[in-house]
Amino acid sequence: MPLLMTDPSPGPLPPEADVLIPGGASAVVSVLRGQLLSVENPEGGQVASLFAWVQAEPDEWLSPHHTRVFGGTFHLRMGTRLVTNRRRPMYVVGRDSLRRHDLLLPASDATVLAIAEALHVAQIEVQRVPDPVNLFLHADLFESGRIEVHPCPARLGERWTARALIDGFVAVAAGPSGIALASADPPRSIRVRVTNRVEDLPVDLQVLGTVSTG
Amino acid sequence: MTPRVDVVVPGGFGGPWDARAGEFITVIDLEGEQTGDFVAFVTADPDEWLSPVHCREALQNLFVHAGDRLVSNRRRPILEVVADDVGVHDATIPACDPTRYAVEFGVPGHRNCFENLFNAVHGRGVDARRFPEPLNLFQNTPVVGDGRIGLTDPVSRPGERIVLRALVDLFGALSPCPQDIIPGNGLRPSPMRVVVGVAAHLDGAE
Repeated sequence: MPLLMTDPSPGPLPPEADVLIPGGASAVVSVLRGQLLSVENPEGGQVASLFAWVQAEPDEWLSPHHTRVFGGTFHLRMGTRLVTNRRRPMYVVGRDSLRRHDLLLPASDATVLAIAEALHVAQIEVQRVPDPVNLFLHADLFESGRIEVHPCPARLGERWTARALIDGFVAVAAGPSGIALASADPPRSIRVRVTNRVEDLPVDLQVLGTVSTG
Repeated sequence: MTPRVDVVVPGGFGGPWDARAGEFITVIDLEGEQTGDFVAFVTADPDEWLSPVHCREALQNLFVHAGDRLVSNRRRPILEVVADDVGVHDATIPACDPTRYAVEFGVPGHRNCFENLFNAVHGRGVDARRFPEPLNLFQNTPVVGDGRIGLTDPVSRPGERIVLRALVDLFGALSPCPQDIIPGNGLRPSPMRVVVGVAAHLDGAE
C-alpha cells in the first residue's frame, strides 16, 4: 500500500492507470486504498462527473448527499472526506487547483447512460448509478437557497486529486452536464490518473483568487 | 368531505400513504418542531420517485416553496406544493439510517427514518438498494456562513401544515424523524398526521 504504515505490507504497489476520456465518453478505473485519484481538464471548460463503488460491496457507493452531512457543509473543499452511503470516508481531497465543485446537482441522462454502458463493458454489476460528485462544476449557493450555475471555469490543466481510503472502482464521465452553461458544449476530454506517488503527478496550476460561495 | 386517508404517525415511527392523481396530501405537524421525512413513488412504476436532487436542478434552489412543482428522477413534475403554513423545508439531507447513529453517534440500534420509510412501503416493488433521498418536511437546514449546513430545529408550530397535490397516482411514506440526539426535532420526536383526499385540508377545525 502506498501509505506510510507502521508495518509496511510486502509486495508490489498496486497498478497505476492513465486514461484520456474523450468528450462525451466515460471510463471505469480501479483505485485501491492509499492510491491517488487525479482528475484533470486537458482542454479546459469541462465538468467531470465522478462516481465510485466499494469493490467488496457494490451496494456501497460514493454519496455526495452523505458527504455534505458528514462534513456539515454544502461544498467540496480541500480536506473534505468524501463518504459512502454508509458514511465511511472513501476519498480525501488533497490537492485542488480550481476549488469550485458541486455536491448538489444531478447527472444528465446522457451521463447516466454513459456510466451504465462503461460499467457494462467493464463487467461490473451495480443496482443503481447514484448521484455524482460534479468536479469543476461552478454553482454558487446563496443563503436564500438559490443555486446559480456558471460556465465551467476550469483552465487547461486544472486538476483535482484525492487520496483513496477504500478499495473501489471509479467511473468518470466527460459528458454534457445537462445544466445550461455548466459545461463545454460539445463536451471536451477529461484525463484520469491513478498513481501511487504524488511525485508522479505534474505540479498543479496556481489557485486563482479567493473562493466565494455567493 | 371525509378524507380517504387520515392517519397519525407516532413520532420516530413510519407510516404509508397513497394518493390518486389530483388528490391533496396534507401533512400536519401536530405538536410542532418536528421534521417529517417524506418519500413518494409513482404507482405505475416505483422506479420513478420524487427526487430532491432533481428538484434542486429544476427549481435552482435548495428548498421548496408554495407553488413549486416537484419533479421525479425522470425530471417529470409529480407533486405540487399547494399551501404551506411554514415555508421552511429541506431537500438536501439524506434520511437518518443505521449508520448515522452507529457510526456518527456511536449508538447502534437507534430507530431511523430509512428503515421507517422502507418498512412502510415494503412489498410494493421498492428496492432498498434503489431508495430515494427524502424530502424533509419542516426540516430547518439553512445555509450559514461560507456554505455550512445550519443545524437547528424546525420553526413549525403545533397544527401547522403543508399541502401537496399529486399530479399522478402515487404511494409513499412519512417518518416523523426519530433524531433525539442533535437538533432537528426539538430533541423530542412527536407525531404527525397525514390526510389524503379530494379536498385540500386547509383548516384544523375538524
